[in-house]
Amino acid sequence: MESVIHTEKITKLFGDIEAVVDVDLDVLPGEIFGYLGPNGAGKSTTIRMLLDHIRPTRGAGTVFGLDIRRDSVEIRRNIGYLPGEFALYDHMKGRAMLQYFANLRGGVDWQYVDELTTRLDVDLDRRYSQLSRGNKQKVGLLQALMHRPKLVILDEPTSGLDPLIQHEFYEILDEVKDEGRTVFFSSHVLPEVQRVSDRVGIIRKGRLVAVEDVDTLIDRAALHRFEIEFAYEVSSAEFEHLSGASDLVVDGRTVTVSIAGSPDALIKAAARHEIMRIVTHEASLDDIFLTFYSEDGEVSDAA
Amino acid sequence: MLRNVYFKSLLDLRRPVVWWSLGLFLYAFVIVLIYPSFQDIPELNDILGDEDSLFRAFTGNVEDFASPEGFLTAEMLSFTFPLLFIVFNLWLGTSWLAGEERRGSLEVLLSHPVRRSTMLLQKFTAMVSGTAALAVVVFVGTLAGIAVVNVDISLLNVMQAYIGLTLLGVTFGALTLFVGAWTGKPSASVGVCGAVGIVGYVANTFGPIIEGLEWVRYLSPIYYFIGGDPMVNGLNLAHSGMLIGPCVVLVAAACYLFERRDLAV
Repeated sequence: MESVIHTEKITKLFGDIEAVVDVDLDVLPGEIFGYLGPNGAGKSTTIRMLLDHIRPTRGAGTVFGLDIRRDSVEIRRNIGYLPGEFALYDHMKGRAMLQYFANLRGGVDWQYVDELTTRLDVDLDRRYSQLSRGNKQKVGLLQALMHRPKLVILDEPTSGLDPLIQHEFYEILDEVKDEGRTVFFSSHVLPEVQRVSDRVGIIRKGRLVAVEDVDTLIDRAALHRFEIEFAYEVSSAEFEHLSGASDLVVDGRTVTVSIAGSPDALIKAAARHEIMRIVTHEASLDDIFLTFYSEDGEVSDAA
Repeated sequence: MLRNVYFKSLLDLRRPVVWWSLGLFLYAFVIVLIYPSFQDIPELNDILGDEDSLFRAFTGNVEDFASPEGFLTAEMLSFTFPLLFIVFNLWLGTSWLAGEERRGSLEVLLSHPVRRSTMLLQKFTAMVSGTAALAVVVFVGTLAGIAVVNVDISLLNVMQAYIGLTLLGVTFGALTLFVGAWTGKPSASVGVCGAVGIVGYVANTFGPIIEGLEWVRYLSPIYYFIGGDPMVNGLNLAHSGMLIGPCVVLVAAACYLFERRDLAV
């Protein structure tokens, strides 16, 4: 199956800053691909190269099999794009703006636009400058989705959306997928990526450190940090060598340890003593990166 | 009206052009109306002094201030209209390219199937259209004045003078686009165009009265608008070429540079 997005060692340097280094991506037709990484990891830089807004320092890429440099106009015909940070025309009303963008694409199905407008709950009869941050984001989403593009590229699409609208937006993405179209979206929020994507690419410091099925990632993400306070001091020996445990710290009466997978062994070990308090933290994206993906891109086998 | 970048840009111009037109029409109309009261004071030329006087420089170095051609040149072409037409183009050229890039709407626009140079050319064409519209308004204002008071002047020459004014304006527009396309910086776009305008004005106006520096006016774009005395002689084709040539080169260079560089992020 030919990839919708394919990059080969695509690299972007800004002076000494390595924004994106040697990224090999393959996004397949009909999948929702989540591009996950902390802020400043190089997500937007990668996306901008796909749209020919900035040019790779080295490496190459194709979208729909077309060269991202030479055939950009042809590629953009079949893309819908929402930038991570953008502005539109303050003095124009939403509908006029969508009309303009639709004309640049040679027309759209207005019934679908109306449907999306209703579902995302946008008021298109107000000037853009009068819209709230969330509503501006929705107009941005509309212009990216309204022409049913073969590939939708969304950079942090849910920022500023309230939870209800986010839910509706996820539904729309699922429908895009059901129609056999492809979605490539970036996020720094793990639960969001887990919820909607089929596959996830993880980028850190400009390097693609892993591409996983979302199920694998969910397993990895089942990493919890336990903080157990006992009635008296306990020996660290009892908590070493527990299955799935890492980063053990024993400080007086408090034992802190990260557990991947089931906490059964930990609970049974702890139950031999009098427990005052147990606190658990869900692992943050950074914890997962640190635990599972080392800097050189090797996946460690802590899980 | 929102068919493409050109028509959308025209639509954006609607309001500003209406307001500018109102002002420009009134200005041209009133200047023509007050001419007859100057017509009867031939001594004005004596007051202004001889060819090299500073007074003359401030009135655009016209030969006969009391003549209709001299008066209209001094009051409209020597300072006010060039300034306004340059400012209009400087404003458009900056906000439509470097400004739109800085604000972030350009990234959305250019995610559509529009080539960068096509977009730039359509915006430039809209700037030319807007500037020409203002020139038409100025012409109509002048005609309205002439219809009220009796002024003996060739309308053909007046029209050609305003065509030259349009050329001057859009050449500065092209310069602004060029700097914006090259740097992506609104400040550079405004700065360079403003500096060229001011230095060009000074060089053309005060160069001729400074001994040994008479030649600097030939470097000034303003000279190629007004140096041939268009109200008297009509449009000087060679001079117009000295505006159109750089204008074409600047727009072509703007397209070339803009296609090649990274958009500001």
